[in-house]
Amino acid sequence: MLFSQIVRRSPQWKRAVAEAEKLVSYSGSYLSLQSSLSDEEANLALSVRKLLGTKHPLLQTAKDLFYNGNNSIQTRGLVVLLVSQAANDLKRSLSGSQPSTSAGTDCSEKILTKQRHLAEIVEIVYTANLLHRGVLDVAQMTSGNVEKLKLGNKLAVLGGDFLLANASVALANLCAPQVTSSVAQGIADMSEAEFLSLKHPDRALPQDLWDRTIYLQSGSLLAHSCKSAILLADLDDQSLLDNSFTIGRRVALIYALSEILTTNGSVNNKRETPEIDMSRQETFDWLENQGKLAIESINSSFPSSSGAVRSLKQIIRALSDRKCLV
Amino acid sequence: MDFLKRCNGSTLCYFTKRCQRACFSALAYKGLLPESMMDLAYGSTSHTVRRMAPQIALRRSCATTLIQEQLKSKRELPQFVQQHLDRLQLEVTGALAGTVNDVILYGVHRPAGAVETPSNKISFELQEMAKYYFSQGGKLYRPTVALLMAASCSHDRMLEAVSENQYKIAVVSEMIHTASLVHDDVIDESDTRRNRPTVNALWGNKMAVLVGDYILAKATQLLCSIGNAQVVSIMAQIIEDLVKGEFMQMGVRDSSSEARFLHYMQKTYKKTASLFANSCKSVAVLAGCNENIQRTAFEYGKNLGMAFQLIDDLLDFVAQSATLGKPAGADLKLGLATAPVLFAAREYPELDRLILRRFSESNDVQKAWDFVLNSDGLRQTRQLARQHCEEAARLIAFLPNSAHFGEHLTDLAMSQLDREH
Repeated sequence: MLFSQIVRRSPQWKRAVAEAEKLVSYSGSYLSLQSSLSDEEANLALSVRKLLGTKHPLLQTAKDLFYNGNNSIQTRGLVVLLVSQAANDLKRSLSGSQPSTSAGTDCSEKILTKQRHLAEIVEIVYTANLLHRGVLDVAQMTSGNVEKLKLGNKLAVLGGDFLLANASVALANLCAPQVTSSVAQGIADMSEAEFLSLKHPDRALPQDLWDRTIYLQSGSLLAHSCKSAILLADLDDQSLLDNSFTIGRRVALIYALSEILTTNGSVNNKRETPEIDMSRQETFDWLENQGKLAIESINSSFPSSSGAVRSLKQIIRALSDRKCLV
Repeated sequence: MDFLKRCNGSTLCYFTKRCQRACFSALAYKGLLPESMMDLAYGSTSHTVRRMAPQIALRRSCATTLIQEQLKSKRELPQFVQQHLDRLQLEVTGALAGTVNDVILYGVHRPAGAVETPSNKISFELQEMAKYYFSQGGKLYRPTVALLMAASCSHDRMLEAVSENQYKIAVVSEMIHTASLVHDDVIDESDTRRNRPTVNALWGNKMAVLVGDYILAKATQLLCSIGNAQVVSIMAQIIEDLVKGEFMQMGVRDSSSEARFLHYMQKTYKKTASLFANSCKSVAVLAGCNENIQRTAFEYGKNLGMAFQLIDDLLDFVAQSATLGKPAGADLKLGLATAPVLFAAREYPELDRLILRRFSESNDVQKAWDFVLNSDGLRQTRQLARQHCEEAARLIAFLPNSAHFGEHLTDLAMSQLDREH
């Protein structure tokens, strides 16, 4: 979610993420689900270059995506994959066989193809939302070449639509209407988040409102996706589903809180994570507490011998442990 | 030709162009109009009216009677279809607000107490924006087609032949259509639609885009509640086709006139006909029809959709702005070369250059407009639309319940040619 801010990431976090990526054979991109671009689509994508020199948000987003590999998006895909693997490990342990413990074994089988597709869908949806949130209103087109800014808008809308269409088709191909419905709820919530942000554009938000905004903006999709990963593993125990939902929600919250705390520099783009009206100390406390609760949730449902579970807990600790925060 | 008998022939009356065209259209529809007078029914221009009016003596009352007859003879929709359509706005509002019991509609258990999320308390503004187009009294054309097709595919000849799931398809098709309209208005920078301001004109571009996403997401959920994976796939294809169609519209190819025309037809399929075709196919699937019937339903929808768009493109040249609800000549101003233009380009190769540069130079729009009106393009467009209407009408006989509802589907197909907006 943060583009032009500089987020300082601790070495622990980087290490945790690197290990997790290896564990789940994370390719780091979602190109496998993209249908091949037609001539017109490719031409339009290249048209982004015409925006050079303007301040259209699309330009920055494109740069972040292609050159920096937007971390927050990839982390979400990674979390879904980890939960998927944890769920599969759980299923195996329930039926008596060994869960996966190391990255050296045949990792790719530990996650179902459908679950991989789900993770990619989640990334696609977040990216689409990024693009759509970068559309400018006419009133904002005050400086620079207005024609180019209008082109930027067209590209942002179409690009986002293209991604959403891909995601819709891929979701349909999962042949799991419950999953599709869940992810759709995530998309609806992301739209609603923007409306909330409209109402409070500048000032810092009180805790409950901030919590609600973050839930809608990123927590909902991640929560629904984690739950969907469980469903795709053919597990339907209600408390497990509820717990996975909660885990996803907490991870998104933890991620947002850690971003607030580790950013330096000022927020210069209103699309980004809103400021919170809490003292730094209170925020730290909240973050740490959420981290502990998340780990408890994981422990209560998933086998601790699972490599994926360990990896997920490591990531959470790296984000929420006070010692890890710079 | 009863109306002529009622007229004593000695009184000349000049009645309005609309009146006149309605009369002649009715006659043509019934196959009663001589060939020489065909152009009076189909797209007569004002100079034609003025030429012909002195030669045609009709009492105003005769004309009015004829229109009344025409309206009577135009079939009313079956009652259950009308009832479903009347309910539609309410259904959409419910789907948008997510007020239906989650477990039933979405099959999603919302974890109790896990989060006090306000997802089921949608912001008031968001609801207002999302409902905006639905509360304007649109034609509800797509749901009508879906409902009639559902009835025509039913095997058991009952009057109440539309299932709840098929009704959901009708609602979903309208929601998908509306979501695409919202985005199209942002892309085209349109300020008015149906004579009212667009969503982006009222609330800004960004909000309009996100409202479109919201409507689409809710439509997806309603679709999933049907619980049929095949139908979800079929309808998801519409969403992909809509986007691809939009991309196709943005690109202009430097190629032969034939290739350009093919491109236009493919784009028209993706942007318009796909929704009709796939909705029809979905209701056929839900009716338990075999693949042949499904394909028939698909082809009906596709031909209907193609005719619909061709007439739309035609009306952009001939209709008045007020009737259209948006400024006429909009396609040219957007740089789009539609069927009338492409046909005209065969007569006037000078149009090719204008097409390639998307009418971007000053006076291009006016020049292209004049070319089109002076060419045979409009008539050829109408002719092509007619071919599609007739193909659609031909397919109806193969549907299981066509004996009861086939006439309505025929009306829908053929009435495209009479549309004024």
